[in-house]
Amino acid sequence: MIRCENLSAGYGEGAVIHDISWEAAEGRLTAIVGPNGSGKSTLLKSVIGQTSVERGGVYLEGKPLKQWRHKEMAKQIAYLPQSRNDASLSVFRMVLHGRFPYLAFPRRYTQKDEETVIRELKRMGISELREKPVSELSGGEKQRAYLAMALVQGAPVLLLDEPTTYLDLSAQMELMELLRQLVAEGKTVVAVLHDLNHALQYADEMVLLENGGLKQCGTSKEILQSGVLEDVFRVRIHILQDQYGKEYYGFSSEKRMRNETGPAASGHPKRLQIRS
Amino acid sequence: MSRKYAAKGIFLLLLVNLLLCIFYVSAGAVNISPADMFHAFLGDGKAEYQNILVHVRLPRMAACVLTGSGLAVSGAVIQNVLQNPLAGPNIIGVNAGAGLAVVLCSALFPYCYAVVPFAAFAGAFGAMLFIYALARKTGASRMTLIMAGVCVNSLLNAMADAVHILWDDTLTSAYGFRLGGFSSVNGKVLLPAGILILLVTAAVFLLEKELEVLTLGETVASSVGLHTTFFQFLFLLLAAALAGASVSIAGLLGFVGLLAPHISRRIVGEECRFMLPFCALFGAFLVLLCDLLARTVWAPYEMPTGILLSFLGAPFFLHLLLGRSRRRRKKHD
Repeated sequence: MIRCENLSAGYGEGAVIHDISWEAAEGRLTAIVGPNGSGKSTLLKSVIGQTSVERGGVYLEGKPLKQWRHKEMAKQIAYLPQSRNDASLSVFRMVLHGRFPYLAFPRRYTQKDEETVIRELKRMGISELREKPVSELSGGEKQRAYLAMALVQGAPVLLLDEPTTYLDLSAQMELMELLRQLVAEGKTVVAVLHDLNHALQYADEMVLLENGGLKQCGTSKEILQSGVLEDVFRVRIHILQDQYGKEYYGFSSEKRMRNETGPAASGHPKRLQIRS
Repeated sequence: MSRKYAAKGIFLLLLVNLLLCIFYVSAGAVNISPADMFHAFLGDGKAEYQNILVHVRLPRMAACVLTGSGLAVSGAVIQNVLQNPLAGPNIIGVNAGAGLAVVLCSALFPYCYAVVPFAAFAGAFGAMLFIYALARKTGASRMTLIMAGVCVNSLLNAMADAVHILWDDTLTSAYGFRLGGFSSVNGKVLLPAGILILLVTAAVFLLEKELEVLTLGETVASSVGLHTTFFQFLFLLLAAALAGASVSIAGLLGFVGLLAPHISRRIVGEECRFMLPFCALFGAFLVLLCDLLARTVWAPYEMPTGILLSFLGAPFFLHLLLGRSRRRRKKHD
């Protein structure tokens, strides 16, 4: 599906990500994680051809990205960027533009397009905001509107750059549940996640970046157990387990742990029980 | 505004424009009643009225409508593509680029009228490309872009002044051209420029969805499958053609490209399929009204239309600037 081969890319003044080879797992939720400035967003932008590639390449369905026509690519990949313009269009009209790649003669959106928009607005819980200008929405509402637009595109691959930004805690969890639901519907979701907790709890696969390079990729469990997350983020990870066996993750700073308990034993995360 | 109201708004403005056109043609230093006008059109009216209508007022009315809608649509396109509500063809130097080309044309090829609109288009496009390249290269903020535009404007106007001084034959028309107006509409320029404005406006209307998607920003637009670089370039080309053709008819008319899109957005909203036709009609209305006042209030003398438009446009521009800085201050608080 999406494959990066020895990819080095940036924004025209030297590469930000270096020599990355990675293939998105089909029908899975992949989290791209890493400390600030590690190149997470750049990797995602490279996958849709919005960076200048210095070496290597990106392939979609085995075909180099540059050989894809813009509209055909938009039918395959929907992208939710981290920062956007404050459009003054109504929510409905903006989300409707998610159907732009399907626009054919006589260049009018069809009844089916409008029905798709209504369905996705409902799924995102913002049906009542349909006539409101996007610029007047709160950060969270805007995020939902843009996500609805990405979903309306009907692409099998969804790339999301920090989708939980601007959302409150419960909305963040709802969104992560929604991503799981989309994966269950057969979509491939790749999301840059800032919150390691979300990544560990919801993602099937993980791509760990450090200083623009690929540190490790694999299933979330493999990466957690390898201890590499603790090294890269400089934290101790504690697995908390409730009486039903469900796991949660807690973090503490490595420095604080050292001060309180002496040199931390490196390696596997510590497993704790939740007292109920 | 809902679709139904927006469509009604467009229809209403069309009616108002039709009435204004009738009034525009009948009023002037010689008043012609609608009945006399009707007879003159049928060919059984006074020859004097017929001459006034056919050779003076109708071409002038057509020039007002075409220039007004051309500059208004050009402004709307520039604002959408640069995503800068303060950008207008007269503010970022596009009109001045067209003006320099027109002045150069009249100095070097004084009798090649048909070339004038195309030369004006080339001048406008050159200025537009410079501003656009500057915005892309430096990632300049909206305000920096406007200030750069003001600089380009001054430079191009100074170059046009230099041409006037060096070729003193062009000096007689320089003053009127700089102020902008319709007192000396040239039929040989009006015809090609008018056709260009009509064709380009139709092309912009056809591409309204692409223009609207561009307002979502480059990243979102390209993620829904728009070839942003191509369409940005194409729209700037079309906007330059509209501004250039308009300048070649009426000189450096200011502020239509700023006023009309803003007022249109406030009345019918941002959707391009409603905003663009309303904007074209509003631009025509604004210029028709100002020109009507310019030639009737002080009759038999005439005030250049550009002066009246500047009286309206300059305070409006200040209002936009102050509104923006007020909003920014509020945000920081």
